Formats: sequence, C-alpha cells, structure tokens
Amino acid sequence: MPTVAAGTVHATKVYGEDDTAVVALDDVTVGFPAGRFTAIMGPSGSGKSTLMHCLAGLDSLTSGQAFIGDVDLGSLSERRLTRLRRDRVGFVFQAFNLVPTLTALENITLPLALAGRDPDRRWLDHVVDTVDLRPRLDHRPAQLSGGQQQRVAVARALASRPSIIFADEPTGNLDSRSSAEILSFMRRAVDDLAQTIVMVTHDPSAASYAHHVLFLADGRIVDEMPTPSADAVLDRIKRLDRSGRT
Amino acid sequence: MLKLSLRDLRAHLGRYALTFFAVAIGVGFVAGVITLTDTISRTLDDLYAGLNGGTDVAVRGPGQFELGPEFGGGVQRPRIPASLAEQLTDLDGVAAAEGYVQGYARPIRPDGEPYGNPNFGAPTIGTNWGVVDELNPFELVEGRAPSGPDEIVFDKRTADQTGYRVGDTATVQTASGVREATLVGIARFGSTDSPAGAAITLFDNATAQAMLAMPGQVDTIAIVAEDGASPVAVRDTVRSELAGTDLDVVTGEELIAESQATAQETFDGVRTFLLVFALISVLVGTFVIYTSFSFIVAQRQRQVALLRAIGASRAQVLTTVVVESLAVGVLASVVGYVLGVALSAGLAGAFVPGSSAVVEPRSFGIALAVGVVVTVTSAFVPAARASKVPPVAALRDVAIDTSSRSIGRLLLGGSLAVAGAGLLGAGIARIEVRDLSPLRVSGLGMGGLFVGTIVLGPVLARPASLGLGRPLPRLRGIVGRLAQQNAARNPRRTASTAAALMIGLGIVSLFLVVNASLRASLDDTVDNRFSGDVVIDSGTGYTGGGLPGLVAHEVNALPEVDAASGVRFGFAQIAGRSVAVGGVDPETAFDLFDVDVTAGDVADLDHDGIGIFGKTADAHGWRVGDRVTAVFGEAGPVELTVAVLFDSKDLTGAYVLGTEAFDLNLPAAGDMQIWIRLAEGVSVERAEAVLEPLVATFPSAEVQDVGEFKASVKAQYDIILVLVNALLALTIVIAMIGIVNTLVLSVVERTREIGLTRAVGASRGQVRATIRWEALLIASFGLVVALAVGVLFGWVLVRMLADEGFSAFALPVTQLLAFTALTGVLTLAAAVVPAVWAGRRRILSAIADR
Repeated sequence: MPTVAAGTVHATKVYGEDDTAVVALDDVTVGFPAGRFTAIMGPSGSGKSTLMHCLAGLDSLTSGQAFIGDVDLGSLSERRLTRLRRDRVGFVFQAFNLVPTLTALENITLPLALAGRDPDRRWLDHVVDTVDLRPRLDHRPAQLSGGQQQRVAVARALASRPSIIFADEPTGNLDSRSSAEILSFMRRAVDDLAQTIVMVTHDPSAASYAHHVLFLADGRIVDEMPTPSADAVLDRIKRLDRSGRT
Repeated sequence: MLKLSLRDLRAHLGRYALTFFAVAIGVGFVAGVITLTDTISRTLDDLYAGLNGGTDVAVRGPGQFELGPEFGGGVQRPRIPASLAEQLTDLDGVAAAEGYVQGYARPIRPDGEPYGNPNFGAPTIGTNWGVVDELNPFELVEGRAPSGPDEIVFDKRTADQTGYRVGDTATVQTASGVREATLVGIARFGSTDSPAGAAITLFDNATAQAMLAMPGQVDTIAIVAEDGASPVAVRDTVRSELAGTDLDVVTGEELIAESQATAQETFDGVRTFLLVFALISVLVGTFVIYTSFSFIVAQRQRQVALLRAIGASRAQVLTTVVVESLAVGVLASVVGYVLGVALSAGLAGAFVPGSSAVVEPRSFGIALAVGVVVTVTSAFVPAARASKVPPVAALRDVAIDTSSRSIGRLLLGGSLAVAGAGLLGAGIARIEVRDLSPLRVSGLGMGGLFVGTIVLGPVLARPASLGLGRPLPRLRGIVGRLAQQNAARNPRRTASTAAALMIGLGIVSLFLVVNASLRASLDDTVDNRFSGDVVIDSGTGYTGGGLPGLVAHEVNALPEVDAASGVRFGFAQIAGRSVAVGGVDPETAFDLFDVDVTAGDVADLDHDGIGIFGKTADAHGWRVGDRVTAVFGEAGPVELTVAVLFDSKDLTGAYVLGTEAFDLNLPAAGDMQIWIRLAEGVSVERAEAVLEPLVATFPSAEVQDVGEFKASVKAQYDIILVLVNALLALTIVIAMIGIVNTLVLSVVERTREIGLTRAVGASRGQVRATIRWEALLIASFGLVVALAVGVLFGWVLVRMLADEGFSAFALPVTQLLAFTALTGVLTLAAAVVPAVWAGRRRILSAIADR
C-alpha cells in the first residue's frame, strides 16, 4: 500500500453566507498516493480547483482537514504554511507562472532562492534535461514560447523535490503538441523521478496521462477511474454532465 | 466581476488620493505664499498710510540717490533744520508744522539683554513724540507724553514683551550711545499694539534729534493744512516759500505712495523667493500626477482597446482622462487653497503681530489655475501618448515601456545636457554670452544640464537601477534581485518618481554645499587675512547704530592692544550704482587686514581718499590718483581720489574710506565691529577683562575671540539654511508621496506576480522587503543625481562667486551623509504602507484573477 502524499478528511468549503452561500466542497475525504500522477476532473463549478487550493494551503477549509503528508494544514500559522509551500509543494498554474524579470533558470530555482537554499546541482541538471531546457536557461519568459514557459514552470515545481506537485490546468493555454510534450514530461517526472503530481484539468486527453482520475461534481467525489484512456474519460464526463443536468 | 470592479475602484480611489495630496500640497503652498505675502504687503501699506496719515504736506531734503532694493531701497536724503517748521507754520493754509526724525533705537530688557533683532526681525526704531495731534500716529493708552531728556514712551507691544511698566527706568541704545530714561507712557499705533511688530521708542522732539540725528536736525517737516485748504495748494505755497532751496516738497498722499512703493519693491524680493519654492513644490507634484495618470491610462488602455475593436473612438481615452483629471485638479486645488490660506493666516499672525490675513479673489484664481493646469497637463500627456498606441499592442498583458529607447527623448535630453554643460564651461571660463554675465551664463548652463538630466531620466533609470542595485542580489539574495529588476523594469515611472525627489534633494544639497563653503570661506578670510585675536561685534548689524568711534580709540590706547580698527559701513552711489562703503582706520587696518594692496599708499586714505577693489577699478578704468565721484545721502556728491587698489574685499567691501573721509560723508554710522590684535604675550582672557568695561554701556556689543566671532557669523548663515530647508520640506514630502504612489501602482500592476511568488514560497516579509528595496533603489537613483548636481552646481557657484565672499569650497561630508541617511529613513517610511499592503495581497485572488 503506497503512502499518502496529501489528502483531505471531511473537507467542506462554503463561500459566502446564509442565502448566498455556495458549497464548493461537500464533505470530501480523499487521499493522493505518493509516486502517482492523479488527475482531478469535473465540470466548471464542481469544486476541483477549490479542492486543489485547499490541499495546497492556498485557501482554507470551512470545516474538515487537509493534509500534506501527515501535516494538518489547518493547524499551521501563515508563516509555517508559507514555509511548507516553499519546501514541500510545487505548483504549475495555467498562466502567469513565471516572474517576467527573472531568467528561466532563476525562475526554476526561485523557491530554493526564497528558502535561501542552494540547489542540488545534480538534481537540477537532471530536471533541466528532463524538460529539455538547457539552451534556454538564460532567456526571459517573454523570449520563450508558451510551451517552453510551462516547461520552466514544471521544472520549477520539480526543482525543490517537493512531496507533491499541484498542477492547475497546466496545458489550458497550449496547443495540442505543446500540451502533449508537457504532459509526458509530467508523467516521466512521476515514473522516472518518483514525484507525486495532482493535476486539475477539464481536458480528457490531458487526464489520460495520469495514473488515476477522480471525478468531482457539485463538490463531491462522484467517481474514479484507474489507468484512464481519453475516450473512457470523455465518456464518463458526458455521463456526469447529463446526470448534473437532471 | 462586480467584486473585481469594486476592487478596481478602490485601487483607483487610492491612486487619486495620493495624486490629490500632491496637487493639494503644491496648491496650498502657492496659495499660502500668496496670502502670506498679500497680508504682509497690506500690513506694510497700512503701516506707511498710518505713519503719515495726518500729514497733508511734507518737506524733505533733496534726493541724492536711490538705494538698491538689496539694501532696503528708498531715496537717500540729507536731514534738514528743525527750525524750518516755525517758518512754515506762518504760511497761508498751514495749520501746524512739526519736524520728525527717525533712527536706530533698541530697548534693553530689564535683564540687560537687547530686545528685538533688527537683523532678522521687525525694526527697532526711535522717533519723536509729535506734539501736533493730527501728525502723531501714536495714541497713549497709559501714562503721558515724554518731556525732557530723561523720559520715553514705548509702544504697547514692546512694553508687554520687555515687562517695563510706566514709572520704570528703562534703557535704550541708540547710535549716539545708551540712555537710561523713565518710561512715562505706553502708546498704541492705530488699532495695533505696535506698527508691524516694530519696537518703537518715543522721545520728545529735542531729545529725539539729539539721540537719533543731530540737535536741530530732522528728516521731515510734516505739515497739517488748515480746514478747507487743499494739500496740493498748501504744497505749492510751501514750494514757492522754499524756492531757491533744494528742498523737496510733496503732499502727504505722494509721501505715502512713495514709501509704500519703496517698501513693496524691497518686499518683492521676499515674495519672489517664497514663490519660487512654492512653484518648485508644484513642479515636483507634476511628476507624481504624471505617474498616476500614466498608470491609469495604461490600465484603461486595455479596456479601451477592447472597446475600439468594436468601434469606440480614439478620443474617448483622452476625454475620460481629461475629465477625471479636471475633477481631481479642481477638488484638490480648492482643498489646497483652503489649507494654504488657513496656514498662512496663522503664519502672518506670527510674523506680523496684529495683522489679519488678506484673502484676495486673485489668490483663489491663481491657486485654482495652477492646480488645474498642472493636473490636466500632467494627465493629458500620457493620455495623448496612449491614444497613439495601436489597439493590438494595447491588448498585450504587460505594457511595454519603450521610453528608454526613445530617440526623441535621447536627442532632446542629450542636447539640453550638452548645451548646459557647454554654457557651464563657458561661465567658468568667464566668457560672456551675448550680454549675459558669466554668472548668468553658468546659471543657464546649470539649468540646462539639470533639465536635460531629468529629460534623460527614463533613459538613465534602467542602467542606473541595475547598476545601483548590483550589490543587492549578493546582499539580499533573490529579494534583492527581484527589487533590482523591478526598479529597472518601468524606467519612465522610476525616472519620474526619482526626478521628483531629485529636485528637492538637489536644491537641499546645493544649499548644504554653499553653506559649508560660506563657512569655510569665513574661516579662510578670518584666519588668513586677519592677523588679530579678538573682535568686538556691535550686535547692531548694518541697520544702524554701531559703536561710536570713541570706543575704537579707547581700545587702541590700551597697553594690552597692539592694533585695532573699527569697520563701519554706509551707502553711497558710485558710478551710477548704489553700493556699500566700508570705513576703517587707515593707520591700523591694513596692518590688521591682509587685503593685498596692489597699488597706492594707505596713508593717502585721508579726508578725500578712497580704496577700491582691483577688479572693480579695472572694470571702470580707475587708477590710483583718479578722481571718482561718490554721492552720499547726507553729504551729496563728493569728489574722492583713488588712493589704494586692493585684491581682497572680503573684510571691507569693494569701496573703503579712511575714518576721516567716512565721518565727513557718513556721519551717522558707528563701527559695526572693532577688530583687535593683542600685544605680545597678552592672553585673550586678560584682553576680554579690559575690553568688556569699554563696551559695558553697549548691551548689544560682545567681545569675542576669533573662534566665537566666526561661530556667531556662522549661526547667521545657518538661519538661512534652516529657512531654505524648511521651505523645501514640503517639496520633499510631495516627492515621498510620489514614492508611495509609485509603489502602490507597482503593487497593483504586479498583483499576479506577487501572488505567484507567495504561492511558490515567498513569505510576507520577503514580499515586503522586495518593495522596500525597490523604494530604496528608486530613491538612491534620485539621491545620487541630486548629490552630483548639488555638489557640481555648488562648486560652480562658489567658483563664480569667488570675489563675492566665496574664497573657499567645502564639501559638507557629514551633513551630506546625514542627509543621505535621512532620505533613506524617509523612503523606508514611505514604503511601509505599500509593502504591508503588498504582503497582505491574497494569494488566490492574485493568481485566480483571469
């Protein structure tokens, strides 16, 4: 049985109050096993981004608990939470992933620099080679293509060897070729470099790169699918949409 | 979406708030200066109208020459016999006539300290208590009029401030010595306790003449016309009676208008001085306004670009910005005006007791015009530029600032700077350009160089930020690196923020350098050109009094004294210009003072000899033995022989007379200082013990060793420095608002980036530190240029004015360092709120705003 890299227990998140209250997460209990690439899917408003934000310590739960490893995020001060994100969590966002004034290499090592730590040279070289960025390290984000920028983001997420990487629609702004490239890098990071990745996406073909897919609807986990294929995922989404409408 | 708009609006309000302050402070300064000067100006008018209100016709000595406003202005005239009054009283239409005389008179407090400071405050004046009621502007509130040599009356303010009461024995120092007299009455001037805060001592007629002028001599005969007789007719009657004399006869109205004009002319210098500082603060404000509106326009540009894609017009961006800036300008001007007027009303009360603020509609018009024009113009420029950007470019996420590569800017700024540097060089090389003096040429050059630097600011900002920030990454790691890059990424904004600071700090550092050089020059002059040890300072300044010549004689006679010479000053007109003329004892002065005599013999400084500064003589082509005409107020035109030429005028001025010639032509002045070299082996302490008794009866006089004397003169220089710094404080406050403004804009602009760095592990402290270091970098860009400019211009100025008392240049290193540290502290203070605000930005809203 693999260890759990992150998870929630009875996680509930409510936005607003009283009449205008919206339940984004409704009593979600879930664990993300270490060394696996998990995709979270669901229609807009299903709570998939909220789940990820709460897992990553970017947002707080209304009730329930969220864990990174065995650390209960709700018990941490702002300062400790920041340190936890810096040292144990990696991020890849859909856009605006990079600081425009820093070079690719500086962006990759940003979390380490913020921690005041020197990068592990061998690991860094390994990561850079994995995402195939060596000739671009001195370039600024503006000089990189969208796909290259996301590769820098993935490299940054990997650079500090976090316990877990959260990716929020990492290919949302990319064409299909760049998307495929990024996703296979992510998969390779899990398979070859033993990383853990949780990815939010609404793209079935992106989800097909994961080991495992969770389906969210109306703030609950409604289904899951091991070793998904794009077609099977698409099929499941269609059914979810239909059930959501009834 | 609503949440987003609300957040936007709030951010906008914040931006306008800072712009608003910048405009309001500048406008308030302008309005305050106008109101303050209007008030003082009105007070001066009232003063002269009140002093001469009862006079229908006045008779005065013939005008000899007009004194320049730098010396206080006014036509210099000799005194006239008091007895004329009786002769004129008998004339047709004349009801009464009485002589009036005025002179230096300084009350001494009961504790022995002189009251008032005629050098830096309201004048201390003695005059006569007129027996003709219509002519006497004073009214007794207590006691009775003075009569006989041992009675005086004070104005109520002086009595209140010194604590003298009717019946007390009070002491008064005048040019002819110190007098103890009984205070028999206290008087008010019109509705105020004292005319414009002056200290007034009133004597009876004969005593006033003896104390303030010469017995039987007065300045003016004031005449009251009989009921029904017109002043003009009486004036003409008096004129024909006095035909054949050179006396000047005018009506009271003419007299009032003339004295008011003279006072205003002198006061204009002060008004201009203050207005210049007010306008500088407005100028600095424009940089802040410009930055704000550039940002607002840049943000709106994306919106407008979207609108334009569906057919909105280009003028829209312009119109909305102009309307908004108009609103901000009008509102801020009104608030600034009210604040400025309120503050200046308080100040006017402090400067001129009893005055009430004069609020003219004109000042509101000017304040509003300044505020609105400045705001709208500063907003229009970025708006106009924005409207030229094609919509596609405007849709890009991060506006690209290309000002650092603008050829036009490079050409304009470069040519201004080069032309400025050229003129500066020409000025230093003493080359006249057209008919401008080298000093003005170099002044123009400084202006050109400074404006050129500011125009080049955006070009310089990026390399400067990167260069100044070079050590930061090593010192502060990634935080330093981010700050360095952030300061460099928006050169135009960094440049205009720094420019606002540059102006204020540049002027402050210029004044620091000038002040230090003045001090060093004083040291240089006193140490190297004066061979003595002790100075007796009269404490009466230029304005009058001084020590009677007798004191210098007594000092010279002491066995403890090797040599001593009084130095006194008076005014004359030579070669068409009004000038200060020094008077010294020729037997000792040139031994005491090393003035580099180049030609002539100091023994020739007799009853008609004059010594002249070499360069002045060269300019007029005078040589030893030439005859030069000098016009004196009392003595009229006098022919003098050039006896001596000398090369240093720091101690005596450009024109020097021997005591004999001085007393013949300028009998009223006493010695401002007595410079003393002690006999061999006499200690300063012993000398002080024998010198003190000689001046015991002159309470304002002080016996000082050379060090003390220099310190007291330097203290006067420092007053000016403090005044200038106080005037620049507002400017620096505005520049600091500019820093806050820029940082807030940067935080708004980089919300996403801040959120991203926070998400990947930056602590709030690191975000705050990044903002603080960015602020320090921007400020240090401004400071470095300001220091360079201040020191360079200070050096040039000192060089150009080498003959005008600046014999040495000095760099006030400690002061400049302290000033740098202060700027750093202020900058960090300015960065506090933006930094905290940046640290508190919610990570999610920052990265989720799409």
